[in-house]
Amino acid sequence: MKLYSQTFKDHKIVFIFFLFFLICQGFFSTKIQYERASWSNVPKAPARTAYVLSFLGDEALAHRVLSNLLQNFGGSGGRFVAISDYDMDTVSEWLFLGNSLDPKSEYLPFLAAYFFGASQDKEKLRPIIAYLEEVGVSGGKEKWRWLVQAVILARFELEDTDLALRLANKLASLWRPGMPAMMMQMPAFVQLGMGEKEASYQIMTELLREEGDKMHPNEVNFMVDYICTRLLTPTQKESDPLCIDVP
Amino acid sequence: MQTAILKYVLKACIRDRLIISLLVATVVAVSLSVFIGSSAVTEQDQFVMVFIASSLRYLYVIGITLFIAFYCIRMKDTRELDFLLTRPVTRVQYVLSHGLIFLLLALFFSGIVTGLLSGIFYKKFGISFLIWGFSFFGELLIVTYLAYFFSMVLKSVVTAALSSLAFYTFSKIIGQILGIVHDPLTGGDRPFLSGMMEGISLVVPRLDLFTQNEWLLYGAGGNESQIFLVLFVQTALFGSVLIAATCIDLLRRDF
Repeated sequence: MKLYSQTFKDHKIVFIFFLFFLICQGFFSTKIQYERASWSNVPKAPARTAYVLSFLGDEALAHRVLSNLLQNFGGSGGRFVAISDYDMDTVSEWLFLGNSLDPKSEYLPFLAAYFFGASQDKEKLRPIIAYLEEVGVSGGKEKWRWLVQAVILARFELEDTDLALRLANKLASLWRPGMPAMMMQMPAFVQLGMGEKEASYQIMTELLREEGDKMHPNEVNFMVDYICTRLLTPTQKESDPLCIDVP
Repeated sequence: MQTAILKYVLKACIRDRLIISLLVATVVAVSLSVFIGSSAVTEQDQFVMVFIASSLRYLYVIGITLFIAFYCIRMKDTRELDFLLTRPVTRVQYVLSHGLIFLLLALFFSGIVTGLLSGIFYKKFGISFLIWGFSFFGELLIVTYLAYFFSMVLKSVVTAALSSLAFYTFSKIIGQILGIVHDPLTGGDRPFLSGMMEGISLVVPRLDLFTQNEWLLYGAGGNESQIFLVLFVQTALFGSVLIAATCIDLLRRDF
C-alpha cells in the first residue's frame, strides 16, 4: 500500500468493514423484530400551560395532537391493549385537558362515549361519565347530547340508577322550548325500570330521529351500529328498518 | 437600482432552490396531514385542516428564515454587499429594497398556503380564511424582517438562524407567558420576574395572536374587522421597527 494513498483500491478494507457492519445490523434487526416498547399505561396529563407552550401556543394543534394521541394510546406499533386495562382516571385528565383547549370540538366527547365508554370494566366508567357530564352541561351548541350518553352509560353500563337519575334530572333542567322532548322524559326513562336494551333502544332511536341530521355521519353510524349489533337480537335486527344496511 | 436588487434577490431564491424546495415540502406536508388526519374516527376534515395549517406555517417560517440567513451571510462573506453598495444606492435604499422584496415573498408564500387551504376546504371557505391568510402574511413578514435583521447584524449563519427562530418562538409563546404573569394564583408569587416579563413583552410582537387555527375551524366570531386591525397594526409597527433597526446597523457599519 502506497503511503498516504487516497484511492479506494488501496483501502478495500473499508469496504469489508462496511459490509461486515451492515450484515451485523441486518442480523441484529432480525433478533429484535418482535420487540415492542413497554406499555406503562396512560401517563399523567401535563399542566395546560406547559402543554400549550410545547405547541408554541397553538391550542387548536395541541388539541388535535392530544386527540390523536388519546385515540391511539396503547394501540400503536403492533401492540393492542384492552380498554379495560387503561387507567381511566388519567384518561379523564387528558379528556378534560383536551376539552379546555377546544371546547367546541365534538371529537373527545365522541371518543369518551363510544370508545372509552366500551370498557369491559364497568366500574372504570365513572371518570368518563364525569367528563361527559361536564361537557354536557357546558352549554355549547348540541352539547347536551353528551349528557344523554352519560345517562346511558350510568344507567345501562355502570347500572348506577342514583347517578343516572341525577344526570337525567340535570338533563331535564337544560330543556328549553325547541329542544327534543326526550330530554324532559329522561328521568322517567331511568326510573321506569324498563329492560336495559328496551330503554336504550328508545333513547337512541329518539336521539337519532330528532338530532341525526345535526350529527357527524360517523357518529350516526356508531349509534346505528350500537343499536343493531348490541341492543337488538339477530331476529329483531332483521325486521328493524334502521338496520337494513348494517351487515 | 431598486429593480436590480429586486431581480438579484429573486435570482438568489431560484439559485438556492427556495421556491421549489418549499413547494415540494408543501406537497409532502399536505399528504402527511391528510394521511394522519384521516386516521381520526370523526372530524377528519378538522384534523386535516389543523395539521395542514400548522405544518405549513412552521415549514415556511423555517424555510424563509434559513434562506435569508444564508443569503445575507453569503453576501457579506463574498463581498457582494460591498460591491452593491458601491453602486448608486444609499444604504437605506438598499435595506428598503430588501424589505420590499421580502414583503413580496411573504405575500407569495402566504398566498400559496391560503389558496391551498381554501381550495381543499372550499365548502367551509369564509372571511375567516382570509383573516387567517392575512395573519399568516403578517407573521411571515415579521419573520423575514427578523431574519434579515439578525443576518445583517450577526456574522454566522448558525447564530443568525437560531436567533431568528428563538425570537420567533418567544413571540409565539409570549401570550402564554403573560397569561402566567397575570394569573391571580401564580402571577403574584415573583413580582420581580413578573415585572421583567411584562417589560420584555413590550418589545416582543404578539405573534400568538396570529394564524389562530380556530378561525379556520369555527370562524372569527364576527370580530373580523377588529382582528384585522390588530394584525395590521402589529405587523406594520414591528415590521417598521425591524427595518429601521437594520438600517441603523448598516449605517453604522464600517466597510
